[in-house]
Amino acid sequence: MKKRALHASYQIVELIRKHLDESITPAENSRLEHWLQAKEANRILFRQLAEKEHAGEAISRFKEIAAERAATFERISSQLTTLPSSRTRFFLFRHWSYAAAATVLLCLGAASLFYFNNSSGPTARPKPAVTVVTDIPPGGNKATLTLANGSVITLDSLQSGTLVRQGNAAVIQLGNGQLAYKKDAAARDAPVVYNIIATPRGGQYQLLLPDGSKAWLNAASSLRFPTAFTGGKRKVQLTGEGYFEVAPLYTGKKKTPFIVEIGPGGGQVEVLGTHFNVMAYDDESAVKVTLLTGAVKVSKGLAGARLTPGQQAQLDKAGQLKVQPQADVAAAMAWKNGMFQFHSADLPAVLRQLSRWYDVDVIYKGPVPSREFEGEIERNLTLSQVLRILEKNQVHIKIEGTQMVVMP
Amino acid sequence: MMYQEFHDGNMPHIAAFRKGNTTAFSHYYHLFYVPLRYFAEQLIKDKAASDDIVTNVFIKLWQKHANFSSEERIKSFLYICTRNACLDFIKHQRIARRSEQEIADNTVLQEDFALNQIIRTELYWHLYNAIEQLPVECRRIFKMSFLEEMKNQEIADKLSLSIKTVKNQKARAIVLIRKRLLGEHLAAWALWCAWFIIP
Repeated sequence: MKKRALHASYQIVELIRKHLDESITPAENSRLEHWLQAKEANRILFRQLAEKEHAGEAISRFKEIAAERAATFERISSQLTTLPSSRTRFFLFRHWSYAAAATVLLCLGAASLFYFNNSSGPTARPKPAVTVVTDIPPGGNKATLTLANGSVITLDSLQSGTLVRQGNAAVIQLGNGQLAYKKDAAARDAPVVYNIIATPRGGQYQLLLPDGSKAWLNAASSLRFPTAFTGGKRKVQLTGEGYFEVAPLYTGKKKTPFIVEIGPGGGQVEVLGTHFNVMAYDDESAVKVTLLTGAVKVSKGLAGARLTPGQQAQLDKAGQLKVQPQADVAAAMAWKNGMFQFHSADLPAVLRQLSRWYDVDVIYKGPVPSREFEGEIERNLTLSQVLRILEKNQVHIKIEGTQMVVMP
Repeated sequence: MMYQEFHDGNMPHIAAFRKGNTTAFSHYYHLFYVPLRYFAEQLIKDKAASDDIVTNVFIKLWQKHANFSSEERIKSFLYICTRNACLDFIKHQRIARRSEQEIADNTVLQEDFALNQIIRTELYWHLYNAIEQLPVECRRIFKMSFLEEMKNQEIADKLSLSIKTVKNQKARAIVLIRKRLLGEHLAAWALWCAWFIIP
């Protein structure tokens, strides 16, 4: 729904008012007629508007909602001054332990408790949190590049320019955490060699491959790829999590498949040209391949599945392949958009993500609290800011060195 | 109306809102919360979820306060976010309990449906406000007539008034609504209301 379509609807509202008022001009009247003739639904709406029953029902309901308005406002008003002015979104947490009752909203906008109002924005220093002794900054654009000869280059977002030549490609640092491989015409006959880009925990990086395909690497991930794609196939090897936007590549008239081999023995994803996310962390229960556009083929051994957009293939440790027809695409893609997003996620799932992004280990000093999390939060908060949100919801976690200790 | 209490004569609401003034936020909240909730309920038929959705949408609005240059933009942002959140809600529901075909046929998912619901909501909301601003006695009689469809005699009996007083109050309601609405180019509603209450 676009603003323009809405604006047109507001104009229809005005026209209908004027029509009822009989102050409508012939030109306006013909616009209204045009709208009425456009669709049956419009004519039905127009007829209903003047029906007493419909209007009466709406007005009664307005009255009831208006009675609840103040109470709802109370829920958010106390937090207004502490809400951030940046694009940091609220973190909505639902508490399911009172199972029979409707969901209880415990915390709204808690992400913001750390901010002073308005202009200070996301860079404002957090207020010291009670249970947090030290703080850990969020991850950033960090990676290492292992060249064909085994030498390792540290990448960050500061440098830019050509770093090195590899095979028949120039390796260029673009700034903003992007690395590009450009074909080097002068070195056309150089042999194809393999490079590995790897992000640490708390790192992410973006890679432009020599065929124009793009890969985004999440924290604690790696991608091994050739400096040029030759032959009938484009093959790369992934560990951890990556999002790919594969550009179509033709060998003669045939499209060249692009194959992502997952982890050691984690199966593979074969595509021709499309957008998809592969989550293959060792500590997660299943490899998840989520398709955004186009088509992909996911396979491991004999098991295989074709995905259509919006579907997710889940490949568990036992080698079982399941297709989730209505995947939570937004949650799968959140990391690439600088967010954590959780839908009915349990605490360990939330903490595994935090552990990778803040480079900390998780220790449980007691039973694992059973909670379900719902909502999203920016990845640029510091760890203590994130923990304060959890604390608001009766999950108590201390930072001790490089460990998050979950208190009973 | 409650939201009028928040009016600050020195600075237009929009300018204050952009600067992160909470009073201005409150103004827009009180201005838009009810129609937005109603709109959400038209889409998802779940009152509690509608409340959650609309509350969250207002928080989003607040967090982006610096981006808005007009009231219409605020209104459009609110409608768009509410509709998107409702669609997400429907999609999650679909996974839980509905068949694919049912969803494919679901007109609620179509953009035109949402746009027409916005037109409906806006028009009824203006009418509601005009009625709410009537004097107490006048409003009570108007509502008995309009919402409860009571006859003049029934109203007169219930309120221990003469039938003439009831008729006068109804006529006064029309005049006041008309006056009220004319100021906002809403004279239409006076006429419209007149259709209902003149037998």
